[in-house]
Amino acid sequence: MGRLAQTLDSLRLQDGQPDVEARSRELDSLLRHLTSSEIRRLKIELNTSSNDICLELPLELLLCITQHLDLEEVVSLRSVSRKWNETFSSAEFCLGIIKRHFRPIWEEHYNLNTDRKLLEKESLMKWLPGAIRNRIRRQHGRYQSMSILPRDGRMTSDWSDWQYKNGRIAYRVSRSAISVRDIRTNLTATYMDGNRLNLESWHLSDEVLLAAKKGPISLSAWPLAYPQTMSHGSIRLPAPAVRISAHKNQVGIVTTAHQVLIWSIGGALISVDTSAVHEYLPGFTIRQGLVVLHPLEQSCFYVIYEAWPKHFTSTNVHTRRVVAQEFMGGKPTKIKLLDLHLSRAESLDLTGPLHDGVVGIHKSFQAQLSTTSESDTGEYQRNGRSGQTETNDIHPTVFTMATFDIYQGRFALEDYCVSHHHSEEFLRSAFYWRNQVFVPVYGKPSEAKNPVEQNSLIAINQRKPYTGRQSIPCYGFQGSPLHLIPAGSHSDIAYYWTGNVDYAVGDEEIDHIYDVGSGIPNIIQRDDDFVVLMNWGGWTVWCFDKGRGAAARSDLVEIATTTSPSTSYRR
Amino acid sequence: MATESNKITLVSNDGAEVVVDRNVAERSMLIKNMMEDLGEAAMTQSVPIPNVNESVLKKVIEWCEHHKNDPPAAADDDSDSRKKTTDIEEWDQKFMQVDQEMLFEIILASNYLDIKPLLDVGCKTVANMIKGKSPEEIRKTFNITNDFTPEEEEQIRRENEWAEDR
Repeated sequence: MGRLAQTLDSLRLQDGQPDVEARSRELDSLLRHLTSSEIRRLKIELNTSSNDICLELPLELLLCITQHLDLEEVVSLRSVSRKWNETFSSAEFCLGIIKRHFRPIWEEHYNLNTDRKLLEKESLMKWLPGAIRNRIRRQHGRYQSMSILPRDGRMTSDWSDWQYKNGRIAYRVSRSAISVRDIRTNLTATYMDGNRLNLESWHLSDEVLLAAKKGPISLSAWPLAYPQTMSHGSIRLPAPAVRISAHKNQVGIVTTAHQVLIWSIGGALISVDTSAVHEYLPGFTIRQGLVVLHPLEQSCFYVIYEAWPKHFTSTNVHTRRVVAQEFMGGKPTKIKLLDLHLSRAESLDLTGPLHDGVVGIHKSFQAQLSTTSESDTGEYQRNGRSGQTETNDIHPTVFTMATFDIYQGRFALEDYCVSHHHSEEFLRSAFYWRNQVFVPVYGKPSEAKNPVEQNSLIAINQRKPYTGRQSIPCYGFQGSPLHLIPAGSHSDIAYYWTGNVDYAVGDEEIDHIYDVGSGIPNIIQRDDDFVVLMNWGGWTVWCFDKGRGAAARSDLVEIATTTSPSTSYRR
Repeated sequence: MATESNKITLVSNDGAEVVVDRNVAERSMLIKNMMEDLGEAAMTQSVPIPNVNESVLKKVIEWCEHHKNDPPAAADDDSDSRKKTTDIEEWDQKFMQVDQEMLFEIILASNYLDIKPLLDVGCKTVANMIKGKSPEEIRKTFNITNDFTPEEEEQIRRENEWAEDR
């Protein structure tokens, strides 16, 4: 500190606070002693520093502001000026980005490993730019390749009984058999019980196929990876399983009596005491349950129950209570409640975890969430439905997704603006994944030449109130020109994929083709690497992983053109 | 007297005294905790707010006054768990129609005074000033000069280029 600065600093009141008046007197007298060149220099200095009011905020507050921005908007801040580039590229800020947008990575590599933090920080900084680029490309629908996988075998009545996970599509081929097709290797394996018992509810996880059987009531697990890292296992259950979930070798089971069981494949079956949850459900009856295993902490899992009141008091409001009970080491810990007031007697749609530890609870039109310290309440109000906004269509329908975040241990609602033509069918078909909602789109029936040609998919971005009427790029099949949705379309549509080379929207208003046909549930599944859309004859698959895409591409194109059955082997 | 005992006096860093209802001032967690620590003494002596000047303090109190009956936020509300929507209620929008300097002062003051909902509204307001804007438009909004050389600009543009071909 120079002598002048020292003098200024010494001007303090009795309580140690700076004496503002004395300081300004001192500065005024100083000004009279400055030469004109010194004043010029000061002017420039002061101008450049006071110019940038944003960066005067401490980093924690800049993070508070940028948490309201998309990842893409955050990254574009670096293009503003050198100082902005420096600030928004700093390691501290990047950790904030990771925490906000790459939560599982933050939990795994940074939050938990306090000892290795510094080491981790360096490798995370190297990893981040590529991860951001991939994330944004995925959100823009910049896929590597697209292909159509025909379904082998005859069509069964259970044709919509399929699941996607980790590059594999599993589907029911008969009452007693489930096939698993690996998109990367193009190998299909069929799984069945040694005694050809019927397979009841089943679940495909990253590593295992699980299926429940009756007589004796049991559950079988078939490891999918080759070479096999775990053994095939089977366990007797006290009651039939209705809902199965799994992570690594841990399996969560909900029985017909809503009893919760945890099974380590090849190990013991543990019954979970859920009586603590029932205290929060006086006057309610449990309708369905789901076990969500924590992706990082093996001893932690959530039990999520949907309950209905035993007696409905009002005919037009149907209350649902959702409880999310955390268990650590088998003991109940935190609990969160969500009361949803719905206008119809409909069951909730517990799915998950979908991505980044987020569990889907319910999709609906227009909802509000109010929070108290004990519980959350979701008020659903219907409005903007088709037919009602004929003359005043400025307000599009707001599609709301209710979720539960296991990292943050809380319920949340996210809004999406969709075209105002939508109805219940939209809700049934919509698939939610990381700030986007996916819906299948079908062309005008008269123009569709075959079923494959009809299948296409659009992604709708999370609602952004600032987005005015503007053209939004949407992407057709590789090589075809960029399509623009004309101004006047109210939906914030991110991109458009088509299931056929020749099919294109042209300059048509997207709303015109934006007509959800059949409203089939469970028609779309996805993760970071693949997006899968089921159709009558098989699946349309979009691949996003560069390495895998390039390798798999020739195989996939081959599948699309050949009619011979794919390799199949049985165990 | 009952009414007077519910008033406390805050002193801004430029020496201005502001008399305010205790329940209004206690929207600030900092003041609330201070009151609890001081006990009865708090009602008789004035409370210095050394980081906030008079005009900002008055503005902040205006917000607290309007929101004095809001339900308290959930206790486990940590900073990154708020809803991502940038919707701001109408009164708050009008309240935030101030010059940029004041807006940033309010953000700093609400952070210092620990008034989470006000901090949130301030941050959302700034986020809305950035949302959907190109770097050039952001520069205009905040009066920032583009000091990149053409080479640097090209470099950054290339780093952020995800929309080019697959």
